[in-house]
Amino acid sequence: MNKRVLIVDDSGYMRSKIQEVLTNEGFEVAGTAPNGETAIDMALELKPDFITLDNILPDMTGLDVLKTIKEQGLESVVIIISAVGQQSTINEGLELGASEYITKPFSEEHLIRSIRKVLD
Amino acid sequence: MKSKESEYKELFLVEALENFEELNKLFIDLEKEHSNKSAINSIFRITHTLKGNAMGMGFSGIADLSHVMEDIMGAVKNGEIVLTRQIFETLFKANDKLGELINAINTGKKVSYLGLKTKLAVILREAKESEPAGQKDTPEVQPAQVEEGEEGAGTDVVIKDDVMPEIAFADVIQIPVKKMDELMNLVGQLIIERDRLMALSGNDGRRTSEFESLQRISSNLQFGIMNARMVQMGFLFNKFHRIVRDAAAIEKKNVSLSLKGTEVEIDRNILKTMSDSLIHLVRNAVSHGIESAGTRKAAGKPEGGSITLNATYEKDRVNIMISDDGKGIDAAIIRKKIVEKGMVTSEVARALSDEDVLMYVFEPGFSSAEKVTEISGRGVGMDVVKRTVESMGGQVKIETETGKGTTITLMLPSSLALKGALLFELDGQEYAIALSYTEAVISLKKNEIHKIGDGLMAQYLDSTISIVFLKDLTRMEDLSEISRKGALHKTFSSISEDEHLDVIIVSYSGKQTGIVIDRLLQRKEIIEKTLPKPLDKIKLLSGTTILGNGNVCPVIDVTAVVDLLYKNVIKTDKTLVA
Repeated sequence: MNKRVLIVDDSGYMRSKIQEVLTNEGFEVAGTAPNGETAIDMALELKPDFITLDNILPDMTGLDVLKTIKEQGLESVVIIISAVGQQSTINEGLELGASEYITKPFSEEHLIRSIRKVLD
Repeated sequence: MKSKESEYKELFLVEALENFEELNKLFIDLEKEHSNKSAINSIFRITHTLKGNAMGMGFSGIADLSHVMEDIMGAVKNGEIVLTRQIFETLFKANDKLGELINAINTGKKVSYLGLKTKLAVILREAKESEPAGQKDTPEVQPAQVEEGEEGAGTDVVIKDDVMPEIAFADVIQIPVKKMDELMNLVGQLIIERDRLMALSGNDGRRTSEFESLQRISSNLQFGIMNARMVQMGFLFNKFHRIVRDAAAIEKKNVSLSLKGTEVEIDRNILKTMSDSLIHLVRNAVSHGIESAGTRKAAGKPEGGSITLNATYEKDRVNIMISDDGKGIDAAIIRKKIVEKGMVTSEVARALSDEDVLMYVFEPGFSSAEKVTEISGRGVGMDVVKRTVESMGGQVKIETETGKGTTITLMLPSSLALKGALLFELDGQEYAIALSYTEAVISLKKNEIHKIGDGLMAQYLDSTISIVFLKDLTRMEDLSEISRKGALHKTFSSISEDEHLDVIIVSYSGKQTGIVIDRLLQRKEIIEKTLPKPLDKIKLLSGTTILGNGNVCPVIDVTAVVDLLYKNVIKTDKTLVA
């Protein structure tokens, strides 16, 4: 069965882009969320295999989302997407239970490679 | 029978929906004016209450969400957060979510709330962090408006947003007691009117049968309304865990409470009237009944005392029993005390049975000298307890065993609406007497009644009981005439030897008394009205009722009659102590 993914990003363009790349790659996009609130609810509802989580969201940080869903015992693999130079964010994310991080801007290959790395 | 759990759940739901409605209104007020202090305070208070209740019930979603809402409102209150439009919107949404969560208790629908809760928590955190430092970990956070317009256009799987607003109705409605009282009153009048019509149709058997369905329907209606006013005893009993705990803490005693018969139903007004008395009795049991741990241990009892509240049905009555496993009441001490207080002479005290002596605990003036502790100094004495119970046509009973404990029983009517009564005739006038006090109606010949001292006695079953001709009392200008010699012999002396007399045997405060009347009429359900002022000073009557024929019928107060006789007897009758 195809792995199911939840895409979290505040930019509509970014969501469409990631969705396209991952669909082409054979993943099933279970949902996309534009803000932290929706992201948490959808993650807990859909229980995707993995989540691409943008750290900068309008209502909270990706780390807030990560913290809440991990507290709820969600086992989805989480890949943090953050801007360059936010090393403290990356470290904290990994501590909170994220499996991988990608810094923006990133190439399609980089994204896919990172995902494959943590899923396999 | 509903379980306690589901009763609580229902109550919680009713209250939570009320809270929610209130919050809705307050948020609308707050929307008009973000600085509306009273709205802020009220929201803070209500979310706080809701949080507490929900935690108690184990509804963690409601508890979590109202908790963070409370925290934010608290911060707004303290000026730590400025209520911007954005924050307000989130709170407003949180309130909607709260409503969804409350409704989901019944529907079982899954409601996602953690996203919103986290969002609120972030708002709170950022407000608190940004204040001193003015520096944020995430400087790139954009104002929400930037992307909002675009969001809807995406092909997101929308799970929960834009739910159709639903107006929730609980399966329980609350009705002001006043409205229920009114209904009760009206149905009472209906019954009187029905009886009047049926009486009008006379003794024509064919005609009365046509009233059968009217009678049945109106009786069902009456029963239905009475039933709607019933609440479960557990309602009141459950509040006693706290009362016992507090009282025990003050007395430094270890007391446990157990409840029985919590499903027994009783009229709400009766329960309300009794609540103070019950508090008094339970506190009394803790402070005077249960001994200290040391004393108990020495007596070979478990160190912790126990108190039981129990309720049972008995015929159309409800009995409430307050039991403790404490030291009991020593009749000898009471006997000594009532003499010291000048309530009775020492001769009388000696002649009284232990049961009669114990009843003095309920007399006014008995407990006044009790030391006033933090617990008992509430202005409700045992005499008030007795008076309260009797004002509703009930009785109190006390059973005690030295060293083992005491049980006080309150025998109460289960409903105030209807009283069973016996109608009788006296001097051409109809009177009623509450069935709750009557034990039997017997027929006596004059020669079976004997003058003893100033009173009259007769044999009934195995005991000798006081007999009174009610006429002797009703014909008095003033009740003080009772102490005149021969006042209670008047009618007795005037009747012929072979006359048969109708005697109603009443039982009150452990004593049986025979009340002689002219003629017994019938047994009937009546609706008693208390006497209006200044008539409420009339001693022998508890109230009036209107009969089917439209006549006003006084209701004889059995407690007053018996007390009057009994006190007169022990004050004056030397034969008792001979």
